[in-house]
Amino acid sequence: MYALCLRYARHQLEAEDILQEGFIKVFNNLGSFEHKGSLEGWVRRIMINTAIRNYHKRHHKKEFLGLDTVPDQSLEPAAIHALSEQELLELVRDLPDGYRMVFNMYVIEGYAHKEIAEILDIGESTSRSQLVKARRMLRKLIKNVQSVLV
Amino acid sequence: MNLNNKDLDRIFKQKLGQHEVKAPSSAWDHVQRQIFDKKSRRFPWIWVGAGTFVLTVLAAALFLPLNLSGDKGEDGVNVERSEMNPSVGSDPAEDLSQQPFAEEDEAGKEGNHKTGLEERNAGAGGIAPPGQIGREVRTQGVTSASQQEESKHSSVGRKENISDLASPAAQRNEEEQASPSGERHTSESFPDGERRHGSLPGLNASGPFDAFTRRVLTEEEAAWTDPCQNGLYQYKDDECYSLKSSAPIRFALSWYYGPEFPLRSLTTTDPELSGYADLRNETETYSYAHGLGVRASMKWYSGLKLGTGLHLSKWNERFDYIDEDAEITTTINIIVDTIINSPLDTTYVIDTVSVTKSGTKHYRNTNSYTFFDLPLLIGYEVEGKHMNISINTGVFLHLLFQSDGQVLAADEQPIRYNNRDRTDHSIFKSDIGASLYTSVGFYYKLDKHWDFTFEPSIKYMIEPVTLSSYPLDQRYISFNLYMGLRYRF
Repeated sequence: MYALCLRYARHQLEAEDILQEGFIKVFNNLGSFEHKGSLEGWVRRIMINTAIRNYHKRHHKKEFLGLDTVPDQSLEPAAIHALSEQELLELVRDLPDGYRMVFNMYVIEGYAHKEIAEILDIGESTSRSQLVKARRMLRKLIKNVQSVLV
Repeated sequence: MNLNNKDLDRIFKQKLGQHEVKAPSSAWDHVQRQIFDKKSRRFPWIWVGAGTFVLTVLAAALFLPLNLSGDKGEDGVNVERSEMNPSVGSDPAEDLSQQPFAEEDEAGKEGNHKTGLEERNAGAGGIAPPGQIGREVRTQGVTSASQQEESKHSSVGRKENISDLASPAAQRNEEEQASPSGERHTSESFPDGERRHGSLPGLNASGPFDAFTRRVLTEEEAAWTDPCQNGLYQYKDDECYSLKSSAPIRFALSWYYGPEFPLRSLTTTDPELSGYADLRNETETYSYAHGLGVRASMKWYSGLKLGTGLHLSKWNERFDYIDEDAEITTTINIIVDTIINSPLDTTYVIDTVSVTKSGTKHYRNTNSYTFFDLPLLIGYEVEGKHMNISINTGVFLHLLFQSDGQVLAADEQPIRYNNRDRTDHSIFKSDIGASLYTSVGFYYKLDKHWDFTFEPSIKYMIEPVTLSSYPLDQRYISFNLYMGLRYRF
């Protein structure tokens, strides 16, 4: 769960805050768990909701940066396979808030753009464009890491 | 070979979906501490306190007031006993009840009279009183002079513990033997027949007289025409008892309203945060506060009194802050590209342009704190000719607490809060426990029942209103001036 928090947070301290808040919610609401799904999935959902709530609390609009200038770059599959989980996690955390939220929710958690738009209170098209930009930026970051390693 | 988006997404999902990182132990310590704090606060001491108070009031109400008039017996229990005598009245109900009593003379000697009494008293609608000590049994038969004389000599002896009361038949026999003439006095022996109290010759009694209590009865007391009416109650041993008390409780109901002056303290154990506390004190100032309530109280002749009721307080503070380095960011979305993924799936690439302006921003807000309380008070009241004065103390249990407003956060940014809406920043608790309360009450008597009340008081909040996770402890002590009316029953 800590890795999940790290994916959504800007830094380690924020991830710890999300983890703490999430687990307090879990313990306080354990009685309301209806055993309809897995406990892990339920805890995971609470953590994601806590992270989203944490995102809402911040003035995130300030961080919608104009990053459209990042060109779409080609990437060899071997380049990403060479990276460890921890390195990929670091790359995701390097994304701006808006990109990171959409990327995590769409790619890792499997939310649809419509759901993301409702949860993050943004337009559906904005969610799509944030994802496009997140992918472009990740490609660029992976290339950068590769060039450093080489 | 270029990696397409789907493969990119799949690899990230595979590698990060189940990836785990060990959390630092400090995070778990925080979780444990916060959960433990919350659990410890959940002990329902409010209800334990309220329950104890209610039980105390009930116990006091049951045992303290039943100190009956009359001489005390050997065991200190005031009991006056008399024979249950039949009445002959014109009331149809009484006529119906005469038959069992008519048979009583003989039946009583045979020990069967009790059934008749029970039937009769059931017809009279007697109410069984609680079986406490201190019940008064009043004479219901007309007494002859000899009986009155006898009662003079035996009045002490007649005051006996209720547990020692003889059966009604034995009592009647005892009374018959006590009469020198041997005449059995029943209501039929007297012309009026309907009244069971007679005037006592030789005493300047101006009205009906109770031979056993040896006092002139009130008009109301003398007016009863049937046993176990007018405040007398049937008990299982067929006697009629009065629960008249010589030390009753006085009940009162009061309504009050008045200004409150809460003084706030913001404390922290972290010296680095003292500047933040100062900043909050500078930006938040007392605006106005008031409270109103209704209170019921019961007071004994000794002066002791207990009170409870409902109380509502609303405190307002003004938040005033000028942010000289405020930034206002406007975001504009522009579609710069359109990607057709499939006939039904088109992606619009939107460029987000953020424009940030710097300047001064003035924040103003009225912060409110609302308390809905249950006061539990004990006091002592001194009676005066025109005014009563009381000293009261106790607790105010805060049943509900609501806070709503805007304050500076620790990063000196204004944030809105509402303790009922947990999606906002959480600063204040919703359960703040209780406050200690003490007051001096002045009750100016307007007439027989109504008093004008003036009650200066102090209320001290035991717990801070802020959450343990918030870096400052915010507490209050309030000075209050309540005015209102009190009705004494």
